[in-house]
Amino acid sequence: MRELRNEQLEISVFHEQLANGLNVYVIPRVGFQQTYAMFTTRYGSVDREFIVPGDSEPTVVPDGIAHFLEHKMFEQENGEDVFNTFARYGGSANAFTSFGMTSYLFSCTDNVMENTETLLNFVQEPYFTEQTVEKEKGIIGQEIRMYDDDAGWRVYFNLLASMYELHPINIDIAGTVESISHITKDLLYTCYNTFYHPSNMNFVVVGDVDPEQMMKLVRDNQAAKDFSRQPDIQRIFPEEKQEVAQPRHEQRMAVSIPKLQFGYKDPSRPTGRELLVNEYVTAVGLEAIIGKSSPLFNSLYEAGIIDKSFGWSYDVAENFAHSIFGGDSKDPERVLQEVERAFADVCKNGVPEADFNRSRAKMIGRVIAELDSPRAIARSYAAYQLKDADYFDIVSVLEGITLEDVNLRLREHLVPEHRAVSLVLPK
Amino acid sequence: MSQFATREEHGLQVHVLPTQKYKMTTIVVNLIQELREDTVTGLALIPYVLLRGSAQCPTPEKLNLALDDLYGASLHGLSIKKGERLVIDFTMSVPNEKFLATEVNLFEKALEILSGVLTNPVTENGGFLPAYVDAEKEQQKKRMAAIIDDKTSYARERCLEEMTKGEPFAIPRLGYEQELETITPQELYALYQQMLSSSPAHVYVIGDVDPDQVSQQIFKAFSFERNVRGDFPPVNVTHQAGEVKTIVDRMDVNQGKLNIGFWTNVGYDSDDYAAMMMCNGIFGVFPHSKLFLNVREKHSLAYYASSRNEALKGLLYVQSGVEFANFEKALEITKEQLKEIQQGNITDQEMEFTLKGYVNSYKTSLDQPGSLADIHLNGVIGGRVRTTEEMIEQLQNVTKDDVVRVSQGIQLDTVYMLRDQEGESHA
Repeated sequence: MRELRNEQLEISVFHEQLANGLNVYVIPRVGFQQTYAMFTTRYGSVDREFIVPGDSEPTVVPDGIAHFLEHKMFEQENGEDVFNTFARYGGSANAFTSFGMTSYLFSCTDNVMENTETLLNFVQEPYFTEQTVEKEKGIIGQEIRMYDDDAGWRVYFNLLASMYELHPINIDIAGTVESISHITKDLLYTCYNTFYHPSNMNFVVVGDVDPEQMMKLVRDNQAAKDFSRQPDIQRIFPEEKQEVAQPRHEQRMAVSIPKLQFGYKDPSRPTGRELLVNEYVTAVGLEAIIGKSSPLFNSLYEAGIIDKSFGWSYDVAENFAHSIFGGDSKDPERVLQEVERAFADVCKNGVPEADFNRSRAKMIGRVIAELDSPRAIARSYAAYQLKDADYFDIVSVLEGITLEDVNLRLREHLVPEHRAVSLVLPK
Repeated sequence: MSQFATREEHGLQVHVLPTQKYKMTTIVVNLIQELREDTVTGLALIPYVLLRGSAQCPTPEKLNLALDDLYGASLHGLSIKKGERLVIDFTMSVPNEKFLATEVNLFEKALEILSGVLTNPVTENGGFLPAYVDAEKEQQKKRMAAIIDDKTSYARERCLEEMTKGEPFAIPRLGYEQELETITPQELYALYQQMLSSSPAHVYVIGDVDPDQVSQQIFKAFSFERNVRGDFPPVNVTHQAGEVKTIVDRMDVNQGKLNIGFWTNVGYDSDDYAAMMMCNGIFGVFPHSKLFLNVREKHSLAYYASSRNEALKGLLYVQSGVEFANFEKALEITKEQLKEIQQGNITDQEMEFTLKGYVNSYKTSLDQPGSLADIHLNGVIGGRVRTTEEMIEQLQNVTKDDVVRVSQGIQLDTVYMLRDQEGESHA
């Protein structure tokens, strides 16, 4: 076990890679009642095509299977729902699936060791039957229907589908009622066996815990299980072009006001610390030009064509990257025009230095604010670790960013041909 | 450790929790008003107008710039409906400068901004700036219209509105669009002054601060003439349900929403409050609760099915998303599960898991400055302040007989369904 100390933030991470390949991180936060633990596999909705270790031919699985698998992990062979096991120890458990990862987690204020064992064990003891798989289709079917009525979700996924022609980020995480109908017990085992090997996972614990004791528990738990070495998983992604699939998408729904999202597809594919630099140079730039204190945001707000929900985000992973802007607007066309003009101006003249400085200070403050939440720390740490980046490096990365970096990056990113627009309009 | 140190001057209570646990300092200001038809619209608008700017930072842009200079300090203001009170809430959080490369006392600066926004708005001719009022009226109209965009919360609000018709609780949080049209900047300013001088006020400060010093700073910042009026009319929390009301709304939706309202006749200040919480927990709060196990797991009817105890009005409601064809079935199962509790069919395990679940969430609230302030405020409004420790002790003392006894006072009042345009209404 080795300690990685961040003196500025007064925070330490204790890390060990176990014999079976699992990376374990313990992050003490003294004085907190809550312990938050996350067991994450690098496997999400985009992992549609891959070669099962030992096979020669690729396997293509139904859309939504990673999320379906997440639901089914909660069932145990002894018949007890794992939520009950956590409830016995006062733990509150949950799970989520995103594009590139599936996480199982609990938070608790007592019985930390028992809850930790429970989490490690249930994720490593799959138990699926045809009958329970069929039953789950009803529940997930309702989850999908719920999202079908969610205008915010629709406008987002319509945008991704407009940006990406082939990359499976363009499909809903939960799949469709039709696609999940093809899921079987055997397919779930195939995905499980491929992606839930400890060497493809990480375990992150944040709370007022003793690192030595916690590490020993995880180490002993893993040593008692038999995991043979697994070769690297070969994931297959289609060749995605740089241009967007279609520049515009519209859908009509029962909403009161149009919902607008637009974004730029980004060809950069950095990894490790470079990923952090890329992400935060972009973020500082975007916050400077369209954040709440920017002249652009304020002129749109003054004109009454955006509200305070209007924001931006930037998402970068191993094989996709894009920015997204949006919110509710009674005049989305005008918003698009004004933004287009302002962005062109920024690309030409650059960001004013004062805007750059305050944007950077704000991003630093945001990271510090997250450190008061064990949940936020665990989620961010786990996600960045899967991208080979260290979450606690962000502040030093931010401090090293220059105005020149930002201007270069904005010019590289805000390419008109890489933009797609998605609208949900009232019926 | 979890106790606020309280000091009071002119009806302004300052609650300070000094702790080194956080990297941020949080300040919450709550002004309590009666929820009334004639003032709700104006009161709900005031926080948005104030956030337009103060004499020191007279535009939204300048205000946001000032916040960004404090490393992205955040400042939010809104109205919150708590039972039959309307709370004007301003929450601010600012990083502790010891983690940053700055010598500036960020907390002091933050307090200056906050008190400026609250007590020193931009005025003209004895009123708020007309341009600001007009712009925020437009934004408010959009917020009112947007209530239908989120079907889950729309269905919840509609159910509660029908259930409490004729009582102040039915008044919508944002007020009424017609009222909004007619308010003048002068009238709104007069209402604001009355709110400032007459509201019982609670300020919470949580972070690495000196309680004496911080209380003095706050008393100084709010050192104007006050004439506090806290003699609000009592809230009626006891009701006799008559014939069950069935309400069907139709909209263009894929998934139906079923909401069911019950009277509990147990208020926040009641000795039975903890027993009603336990009852509600067994019924529908946790993954081990009867609703989740039966509506979701056993019958696969819904992705979510949960209940919530609204003790400030002595009511409880169930919400779920189901297929239109399954409305009756889900309603029957919900009624059956309540009957199970009323007949004493509660296992020791259900009691144990529910207690542990609540202990976990109360202890977790000790890590969340916003939750600590909120729980305290509920106590103030509900007429009985309980510390986290007291609340846990009261929950521990609840017996199965207590749960059965309070459950027998629960009466079904309203069944609300949101469904598509087709099919027959079976009201």
